[in-house]
Amino acid sequence: MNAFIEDGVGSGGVAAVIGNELQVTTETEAMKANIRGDAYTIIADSVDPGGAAEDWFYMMNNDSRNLIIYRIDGWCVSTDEEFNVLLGATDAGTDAGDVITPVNNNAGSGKLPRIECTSDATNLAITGGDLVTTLKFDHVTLQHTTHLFPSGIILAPNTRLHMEAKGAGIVHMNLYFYMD
Amino acid sequence: MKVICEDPKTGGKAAVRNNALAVSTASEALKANLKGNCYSALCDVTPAVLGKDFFFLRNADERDLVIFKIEGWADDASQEITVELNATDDGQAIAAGDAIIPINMNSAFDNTAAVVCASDATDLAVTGGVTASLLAFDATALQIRTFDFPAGIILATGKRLHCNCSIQGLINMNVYFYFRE
Repeated sequence: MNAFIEDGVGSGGVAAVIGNELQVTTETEAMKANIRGDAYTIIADSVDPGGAAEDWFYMMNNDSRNLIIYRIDGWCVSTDEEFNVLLGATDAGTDAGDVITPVNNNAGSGKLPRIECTSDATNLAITGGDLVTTLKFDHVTLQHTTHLFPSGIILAPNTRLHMEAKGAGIVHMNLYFYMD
Repeated sequence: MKVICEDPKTGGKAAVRNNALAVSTASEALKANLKGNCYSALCDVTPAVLGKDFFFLRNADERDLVIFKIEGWADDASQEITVELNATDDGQAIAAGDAIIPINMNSAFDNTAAVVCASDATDLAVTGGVTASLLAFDATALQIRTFDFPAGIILATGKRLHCNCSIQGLINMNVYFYFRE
Protein backbone atom coordinates (compact mmCIF):
# COMPACT_ATOMS: atom_id res chain seq x y z
CA MET A 1 0.00 0.00 0.00
CA ASN A 2 1.43 3.35 -1.00
CA ALA A 3 0.90 6.42 1.10
CA PHE A 4 1.33 10.06 0.08
CA ILE A 5 1.93 12.85 2.56
CA GLU A 6 -0.56 15.59 1.84
CA ASP A 7 -0.60 19.19 3.01
CA GLY A 8 -2.57 19.25 6.24
CA VAL A 9 -3.67 22.82 5.70
CA GLY A 10 -5.49 22.24 2.46
CA SER A 11 -3.32 23.36 -0.47
CA GLY A 12 -3.51 19.94 -2.10
CA GLY A 13 0.29 19.74 -2.28
CA VAL A 14 1.94 16.38 -1.76
CA ALA A 15 5.45 15.77 -0.40
CA ALA A 16 7.83 14.63 -3.11
CA VAL A 17 10.33 11.80 -2.99
CA ILE A 18 13.41 12.53 -5.11
CA GLY A 19 16.30 10.11 -5.38
CA ASN A 20 14.63 7.87 -2.78
CA GLU A 21 14.57 10.70 -0.26
CA LEU A 22 11.50 12.34 1.22
CA GLN A 23 11.65 16.07 0.61
CA VAL A 24 11.33 18.10 3.80
CA THR A 25 11.96 21.76 4.50
CA THR A 26 15.32 22.61 6.00
CA GLU A 27 14.68 26.30 6.54
CA THR A 28 15.89 27.43 9.94
CA GLU A 29 13.47 28.97 12.38
CA ALA A 30 15.14 32.33 11.71
CA MET A 31 14.67 31.93 7.97
CA LYS A 32 11.03 30.95 8.39
CA ALA A 33 10.55 34.12 10.40
CA ASN A 34 12.35 36.13 7.72
CA ILE A 35 10.12 34.69 4.99
CA ARG A 36 7.09 35.99 6.84
CA GLY A 37 8.84 39.34 7.39
CA ASP A 38 9.66 38.98 11.07
CA ALA A 39 13.50 38.89 11.12
CA TYR A 40 15.54 42.01 11.81
CA THR A 41 18.98 43.49 12.33
CA ILE A 42 19.86 46.10 14.90
CA ILE A 43 22.95 48.04 13.94
CA ALA A 44 24.91 49.91 16.59
CA ASP A 45 27.31 51.83 14.39
CA SER A 46 30.36 53.62 15.76
CA VAL A 47 29.27 53.85 19.36
CA ASP A 48 32.01 54.83 21.78
CA PRO A 49 31.16 53.77 25.33
CA GLY A 50 32.65 56.49 27.43
CA GLY A 51 34.34 54.38 30.04
CA ALA A 52 34.40 51.34 32.26
CA ALA A 53 31.18 49.56 33.19
CA GLU A 54 28.97 51.86 31.14
CA ASP A 55 25.61 50.68 29.84
CA TRP A 56 25.85 51.51 26.16
CA PHE A 57 23.15 49.36 24.52
CA TYR A 58 19.52 48.76 25.49
CA MET A 59 16.49 47.00 24.08
CA MET A 60 13.02 46.16 25.34
CA ASN A 61 10.52 43.82 23.76
CA ASN A 62 7.09 45.50 23.64
CA ASP A 63 5.65 42.81 21.38
CA SER A 64 3.38 40.01 22.54
CA ARG A 65 5.76 37.45 21.01
CA ASN A 66 9.20 36.27 22.06
CA LEU A 67 12.17 38.15 20.61
CA ILE A 68 14.85 35.56 19.82
CA ILE A 69 18.45 36.72 19.34
CA TYR A 70 20.35 34.17 17.28
CA ARG A 71 23.50 36.06 16.29
CA ILE A 72 25.66 38.98 17.39
CA ASP A 73 28.70 40.10 15.44
CA GLY A 74 30.96 43.11 15.22
CA TRP A 75 34.33 44.64 15.83
CA CYS A 76 35.89 47.30 18.00
CA VAL A 77 38.91 49.51 18.28
CA SER A 78 40.11 48.41 21.70
CA THR A 79 41.44 44.89 21.78
CA ASP A 80 40.64 44.75 25.49
CA GLU A 81 36.96 45.50 25.05
CA GLU A 82 34.49 43.08 26.62
CA PHE A 83 30.70 43.21 26.84
CA ASN A 84 28.49 41.96 29.62
CA VAL A 85 25.07 41.00 28.30
CA LEU A 86 22.34 41.26 30.93
CA LEU A 87 18.72 40.09 30.90
CA GLY A 88 15.82 41.31 32.98
CA ALA A 89 16.71 44.89 33.92
CA THR A 90 13.99 46.67 35.88
CA ASP A 91 14.08 50.03 34.10
CA ALA A 92 15.27 51.82 30.97
CA GLY A 93 17.83 53.89 32.84
CA THR A 94 18.14 57.42 31.56
CA ASP A 95 16.19 56.48 28.43
CA ALA A 96 18.30 59.15 26.75
CA GLY A 97 20.12 57.07 24.18
CA ASP A 98 20.22 57.40 20.41
CA VAL A 99 17.25 55.51 19.00
CA ILE A 100 18.05 52.54 16.76
CA THR A 101 15.38 51.41 14.32
CA PRO A 102 15.69 47.72 13.42
CA VAL A 103 16.03 46.87 9.75
CA ASN A 104 13.82 44.18 8.27
CA ASN A 105 15.92 41.40 6.69
CA ASN A 106 13.28 40.79 4.03
CA ALA A 107 13.22 43.51 1.40
CA GLY A 108 9.66 42.54 0.61
CA SER A 109 8.38 43.35 4.06
CA GLY A 110 7.76 46.73 5.62
CA LYS A 111 7.13 45.37 9.10
CA LEU A 112 8.82 46.81 12.15
CA PRO A 113 9.03 45.03 15.49
CA ARG A 114 7.46 46.59 18.55
CA ILE A 115 10.63 47.20 20.51
CA GLU A 116 12.60 50.04 22.04
CA CYS A 117 16.29 50.11 21.20
CA THR A 118 18.97 52.66 21.94
CA SER A 119 22.73 53.01 22.20
CA ASP A 120 24.77 55.82 23.63
CA ALA A 121 28.26 57.01 24.42
CA THR A 122 26.98 58.22 27.76
CA ASN A 123 26.10 55.71 30.44
CA LEU A 124 22.44 54.66 30.13
CA ALA A 125 22.54 53.78 33.84
CA ILE A 126 20.14 50.86 33.69
CA THR A 127 19.04 49.15 36.89
CA GLY A 128 19.30 45.42 37.53
CA GLY A 129 19.62 42.52 35.13
CA ASP A 130 21.35 39.15 35.30
CA LEU A 131 24.59 38.50 33.47
CA VAL A 132 23.70 35.92 30.82
CA THR A 133 26.92 36.02 28.79
CA THR A 134 30.18 37.88 28.34
CA LEU A 135 31.26 38.59 24.78
CA LYS A 136 34.41 39.76 23.10
CA PHE A 137 34.95 40.64 19.53
CA ASP A 138 38.36 39.95 18.05
CA HIS A 139 41.53 40.69 19.95
CA VAL A 140 42.93 42.05 16.72
CA THR A 141 41.78 45.64 16.33
CA LEU A 142 38.91 46.05 13.86
CA GLN A 143 38.74 42.31 13.16
CA HIS A 144 35.18 41.05 12.74
CA THR A 145 33.93 38.28 15.04
CA THR A 146 30.62 36.41 14.95
CA HIS A 147 28.80 34.79 17.87
CA LEU A 148 25.97 32.35 17.19
CA PHE A 149 23.45 31.32 19.82
CA PRO A 150 22.06 27.86 19.00
CA SER A 151 19.57 28.16 21.86
CA GLY A 152 18.85 31.79 21.16
CA ILE A 153 18.79 34.42 23.84
CA ILE A 154 15.10 34.87 24.41
CA LEU A 155 13.65 38.24 25.32
CA ALA A 156 10.09 37.56 26.46
CA PRO A 157 7.38 40.19 26.07
CA ASN A 158 7.91 43.26 28.26
CA THR A 159 11.44 42.30 29.28
CA ARG A 160 14.77 44.00 28.70
CA LEU A 161 18.33 43.27 27.55
CA HIS A 162 21.25 45.63 27.89
CA MET A 163 25.01 45.59 27.45
CA GLU A 164 27.74 46.99 29.59
CA ALA A 165 31.18 47.77 28.19
CA LYS A 166 34.43 47.07 29.98
CA GLY A 167 36.03 50.22 28.62
CA ALA A 168 36.01 53.02 26.10
CA GLY A 169 36.56 52.75 22.34
CA ILE A 170 34.44 52.64 19.22
CA VAL A 171 32.22 49.59 18.76
CA HIS A 172 30.40 48.39 15.66
CA MET A 173 27.78 45.74 16.35
CA ASN A 174 25.07 43.89 14.43
CA LEU A 175 22.45 42.08 16.49
CA TYR A 176 20.17 39.69 14.62
CA PHE A 177 16.80 38.53 15.94
CA TYR A 178 13.38 37.32 14.95
CA MET A 179 9.94 37.48 16.50
CA ASP A 180 8.05 34.26 17.14
CA MET B 1 -3.79 6.59 -0.21
CA LYS B 2 -3.07 10.10 0.98
CA VAL B 3 -2.06 10.69 4.58
CA ILE B 4 -1.91 13.82 6.64
CA CYS B 5 0.54 14.15 9.53
CA GLU B 6 -1.60 15.19 12.48
CA ASP B 7 -0.85 15.75 16.13
CA PRO B 8 -3.40 13.63 18.03
CA LYS B 9 -3.07 15.90 21.06
CA THR B 10 -3.52 19.29 19.41
CA GLY B 11 -5.09 18.48 16.07
CA GLY B 12 -2.28 20.44 14.37
CA LYS B 13 -1.54 19.30 10.84
CA ALA B 14 1.83 19.39 9.06
CA ALA B 15 1.98 21.55 5.96
CA VAL B 16 3.51 20.60 2.61
CA ARG B 17 4.99 23.56 0.75
CA ASN B 18 6.50 23.31 -2.72
CA ASN B 19 6.24 19.53 -2.48
CA ALA B 20 8.32 19.45 0.69
CA LEU B 21 7.01 18.41 4.09
CA ALA B 22 7.35 21.32 6.52
CA VAL B 23 9.26 20.20 9.60
CA SER B 24 10.55 21.99 12.66
CA THR B 25 14.25 22.82 12.48
CA ALA B 26 14.45 24.28 15.98
CA SER B 27 17.56 22.94 17.70
CA GLU B 28 17.08 21.01 20.90
CA ALA B 29 18.76 23.88 22.71
CA LEU B 30 16.26 26.37 21.30
CA LYS B 31 13.34 24.11 22.23
CA ALA B 32 14.71 23.84 25.75
CA ASN B 33 15.21 27.61 25.96
CA LEU B 34 11.63 28.25 24.86
CA LYS B 35 10.57 26.15 27.86
CA GLY B 36 12.91 27.99 30.24
CA ASN B 37 15.38 25.13 30.57
CA CYS B 38 18.52 26.65 29.09
CA TYR B 39 21.32 28.32 31.05
CA SER B 40 24.75 29.94 30.89
CA ALA B 41 27.38 29.47 33.59
CA LEU B 42 30.05 32.18 33.54
CA CYS B 43 33.49 31.75 35.03
CA ASP B 44 36.02 34.56 35.47
CA VAL B 45 38.99 33.28 37.40
CA THR B 46 42.76 33.59 37.61
CA PRO B 47 44.27 30.28 38.72
CA ALA B 48 47.50 30.94 40.55
CA VAL B 49 49.09 27.59 39.95
CA LEU B 50 49.29 25.33 36.92
CA GLY B 51 47.47 22.04 36.61
CA LYS B 52 44.69 22.99 39.00
CA ASP B 53 40.96 22.39 38.93
CA PHE B 54 39.37 25.80 38.42
CA PHE B 55 35.81 24.93 37.34
CA PHE B 56 33.30 22.39 38.64
CA LEU B 57 29.77 21.41 37.63
CA ARG B 58 27.57 18.64 39.07
CA ASN B 59 24.10 17.85 37.73
CA ALA B 60 21.65 17.68 40.63
CA ASP B 61 18.62 17.54 38.33
CA GLU B 62 16.76 14.35 37.46
CA ARG B 63 17.18 15.11 33.75
CA ASP B 64 20.31 14.89 31.61
CA LEU B 65 22.31 18.10 31.48
CA VAL B 66 23.55 18.73 27.92
CA ILE B 67 26.44 21.14 27.31
CA PHE B 68 26.19 22.41 23.74
CA LYS B 69 28.73 25.23 23.70
CA ILE B 70 31.79 26.45 25.58
CA GLU B 71 33.61 29.65 24.77
CA GLY B 72 36.17 31.87 26.37
CA TRP B 73 39.59 33.42 26.41
CA ALA B 74 42.77 33.40 28.46
CA ASP B 75 45.49 35.94 29.02
CA ASP B 76 48.22 33.42 28.25
CA ALA B 77 48.22 32.23 24.65
CA SER B 78 49.63 28.87 25.79
CA GLN B 79 46.78 28.10 28.16
CA GLU B 80 45.19 24.69 27.67
CA ILE B 81 42.08 23.47 29.42
CA THR B 82 41.31 19.84 30.16
CA VAL B 83 37.64 18.95 30.46
CA GLU B 84 37.05 15.90 32.64
CA LEU B 85 33.94 13.83 33.25
CA ASN B 86 32.90 11.54 36.09
CA ALA B 87 34.92 12.81 39.02
CA THR B 88 34.13 10.88 42.18
CA ASP B 89 33.72 13.81 44.53
CA ASP B 90 33.07 17.57 44.62
CA GLY B 91 36.54 18.35 45.94
CA GLN B 92 36.50 21.81 47.50
CA ALA B 93 33.79 23.12 45.16
CA ILE B 94 31.19 23.57 47.87
CA ALA B 95 33.50 24.21 50.81
CA ALA B 96 35.87 26.69 49.23
CA GLY B 97 34.84 27.49 45.64
CA ASP B 98 33.09 30.62 44.47
CA ALA B 99 29.55 29.51 43.72
CA ILE B 100 28.29 30.15 40.18
CA ILE B 101 24.55 30.51 39.66
CA PRO B 102 23.76 29.74 36.02
CA ILE B 103 21.51 32.33 34.39
CA ASN B 104 18.34 31.41 32.55
CA MET B 105 18.66 32.38 28.87
CA ASN B 106 14.94 33.14 28.56
CA SER B 107 13.94 36.37 30.29
CA ALA B 108 10.43 35.03 30.88
CA PHE B 109 11.73 32.47 33.37
CA ASP B 110 13.44 32.89 36.70
CA ASN B 111 13.79 29.21 37.55
CA THR B 112 17.34 28.19 38.32
CA ALA B 113 19.28 25.12 37.29
CA ALA B 114 19.56 22.33 39.82
CA VAL B 115 23.34 22.12 39.70
CA VAL B 116 26.34 22.60 41.92
CA CYS B 117 28.67 24.93 40.07
CA ALA B 118 31.77 26.74 41.27
CA SER B 119 35.09 28.17 40.18
CA ASP B 120 38.14 29.20 42.13
CA ALA B 121 41.66 30.53 41.75
CA THR B 122 42.76 27.93 44.26
CA ASP B 123 42.75 24.26 43.32
CA LEU B 124 39.28 22.75 43.76
CA ALA B 125 41.09 19.41 44.19
CA VAL B 126 38.45 17.25 42.56
CA THR B 127 39.13 13.52 42.67
CA GLY B 128 39.13 11.33 39.58
CA GLY B 129 37.57 11.96 36.18
CA VAL B 130 38.53 11.04 32.67
CA THR B 131 39.51 13.53 30.01
CA ALA B 132 36.64 14.10 27.61
CA SER B 133 38.07 17.04 25.70
CA LEU B 134 41.13 19.25 25.47
CA LEU B 135 40.45 22.89 24.72
CA ALA B 136 42.77 25.72 23.79
CA PHE B 137 41.26 29.12 23.41
CA ASP B 138 42.95 31.24 20.79
CA ALA B 139 46.73 31.26 20.39
CA THR B 140 46.43 35.02 20.60
CA ALA B 141 46.14 36.09 24.19
CA LEU B 142 42.65 37.31 25.17
CA GLN B 143 41.14 36.22 21.86
CA ILE B 144 37.72 34.62 22.25
CA ARG B 145 37.21 31.16 20.80
CA THR B 146 33.95 29.18 20.60
CA PHE B 147 33.52 25.43 20.71
CA ASP B 148 30.24 23.85 19.67
CA PHE B 149 29.43 20.28 20.67
CA PRO B 150 26.98 18.85 18.14
CA ALA B 151 26.66 15.68 20.19
CA GLY B 152 26.59 17.61 23.43
CA ILE B 153 28.58 16.74 26.51
CA ILE B 154 26.04 14.95 28.64
CA LEU B 155 26.01 14.96 32.42
CA ALA B 156 23.53 12.41 33.68
CA THR B 157 21.90 12.94 37.06
CA GLY B 158 24.51 13.23 39.79
CA LYS B 159 27.43 13.24 37.34
CA ARG B 160 30.27 15.74 37.44
CA LEU B 161 32.40 17.75 35.02
CA HIS B 162 35.44 19.76 35.95
CA CYS B 163 38.14 21.71 34.13
CA ASN B 164 41.77 22.16 34.94
CA CYS B 165 44.32 24.52 33.47
CA SER B 166 47.79 23.87 32.11
CA ILE B 167 49.24 27.13 33.36
CA GLN B 168 48.31 30.02 35.59
CA GLY B 169 46.61 33.21 34.47
CA LEU B 170 43.21 34.70 33.73
CA ILE B 171 40.52 32.48 32.23
CA ASN B 172 37.09 33.70 31.15
CA MET B 173 34.78 30.86 30.21
CA ASN B 174 31.08 30.64 29.32
CA VAL B 175 29.43 27.20 29.51
CA TYR B 176 26.01 26.87 27.86
CA PHE B 177 23.73 23.95 28.68
CA TYR B 178 20.14 22.76 28.79
CA PHE B 179 18.22 19.99 30.48
CA ARG B 180 16.93 17.31 28.15
CA GLU B 181 13.25 16.49 28.67
